[in-house]
Amino acid sequence: MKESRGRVITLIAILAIVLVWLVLDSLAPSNPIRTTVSRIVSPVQYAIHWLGTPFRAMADSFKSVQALCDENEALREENSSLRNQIIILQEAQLENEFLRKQLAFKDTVPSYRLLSAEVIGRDPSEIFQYLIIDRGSEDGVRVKMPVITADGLVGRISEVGPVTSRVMLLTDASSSVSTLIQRSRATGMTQGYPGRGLMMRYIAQTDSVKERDLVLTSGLGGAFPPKLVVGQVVEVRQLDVAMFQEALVIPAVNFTSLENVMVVISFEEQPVEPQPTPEGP
Amino acid sequence: MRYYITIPIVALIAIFQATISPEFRLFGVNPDLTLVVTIVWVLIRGEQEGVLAALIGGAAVAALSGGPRLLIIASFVACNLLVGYAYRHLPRMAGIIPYLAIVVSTLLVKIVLIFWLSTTTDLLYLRGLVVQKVLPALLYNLVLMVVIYNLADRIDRRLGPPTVEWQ
Repeated sequence: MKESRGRVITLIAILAIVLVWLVLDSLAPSNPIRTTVSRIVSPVQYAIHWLGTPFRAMADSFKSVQALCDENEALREENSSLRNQIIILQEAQLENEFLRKQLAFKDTVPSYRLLSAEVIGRDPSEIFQYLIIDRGSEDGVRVKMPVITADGLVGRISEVGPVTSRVMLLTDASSSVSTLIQRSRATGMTQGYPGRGLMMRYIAQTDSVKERDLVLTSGLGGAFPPKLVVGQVVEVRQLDVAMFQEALVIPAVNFTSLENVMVVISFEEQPVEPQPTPEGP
Repeated sequence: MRYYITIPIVALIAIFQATISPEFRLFGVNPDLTLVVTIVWVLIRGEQEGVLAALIGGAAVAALSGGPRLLIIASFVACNLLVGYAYRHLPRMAGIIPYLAIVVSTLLVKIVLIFWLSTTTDLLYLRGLVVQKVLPALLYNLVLMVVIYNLADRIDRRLGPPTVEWQ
């Protein structure tokens, strides 16, 4: 009974203090109760705040580490994506340059009907010099058609499938092209010379051949169009007892890095068709 | 291994060799991946499977090459028969036979093809071919053999049938 009375008194006292505090607080911003409470609570608050600072910093650092990780991951992805884009753009630029070169070349030979092709394979033996291109009979490719790049003659079609063809390179042992020296117009036959490159043979002893002379197709025989660059003379072999001179030639085209070529579908002079005249009424 | 697995694997390797191997040029030559794989096959899976692999590998390389097809296939099969015979009859040399085998096989295949070339043309700079094609190919194939043989041996030990040994 005494105990319950005590509890009621305590409750009433607390309620009274709260009431007085509320009344005083509403009457004046600074009052003795608030001051006293503040004096008691603030040191405890400081202490708790001081004790909590390292934990808060740790939590902040955890948050920032997580944010940094996320940011790092995002930056990595962005970097990777940008790097890929750079590679794609560089490839596009190279392709663009190559196509421009091809286009410029096409402009110089308007009478040629050319078909662009991509190199998709090479001879696996490496003793024989062949390429495989992604154009075949369905694209109009036929055996013996010349294959060129803007740099010069590549070779000729040796086998045709429906969608792919095999190109015999100039450097193959079986390759033979009728050529001439640009400077002196000396004619000969340029053959593949396995292990060295190309050899221009059957040049008359009286003809002039010098190192650095440019070798072009002569067009004789009609297998190749005339005036295509074949290569450059690097060595002349002339023996008094021999019937002919020979010249070692390095090809104008770098066959190991070939990616795109052009098949010459036809190279005869195209007759110019008369323009239709507008008829009057 | 079942034949229907041997055929696509070896054919794919030959296509890989003709298509992408120029990207892996070393010492100025492309890897003779098909030859190395068929030699590894005979060493690991025995003569019967090895000869089949050589036949398929040779046929695939021949189909992709502009060279004499029958000669390419025959040289592949001959190499595998030779290696299989040596491996069976020279057990004491088993450790070095894979490396010896690839050197001999590379030489054999290249010599056969160069010999064929010499019959088709009088223009042949043999020293240039040996220095530019044969010797680098020997070295490259030897490097490939070390990698592929050891890798294939491990795979076969894990996936292949258990070997019976004396206790």
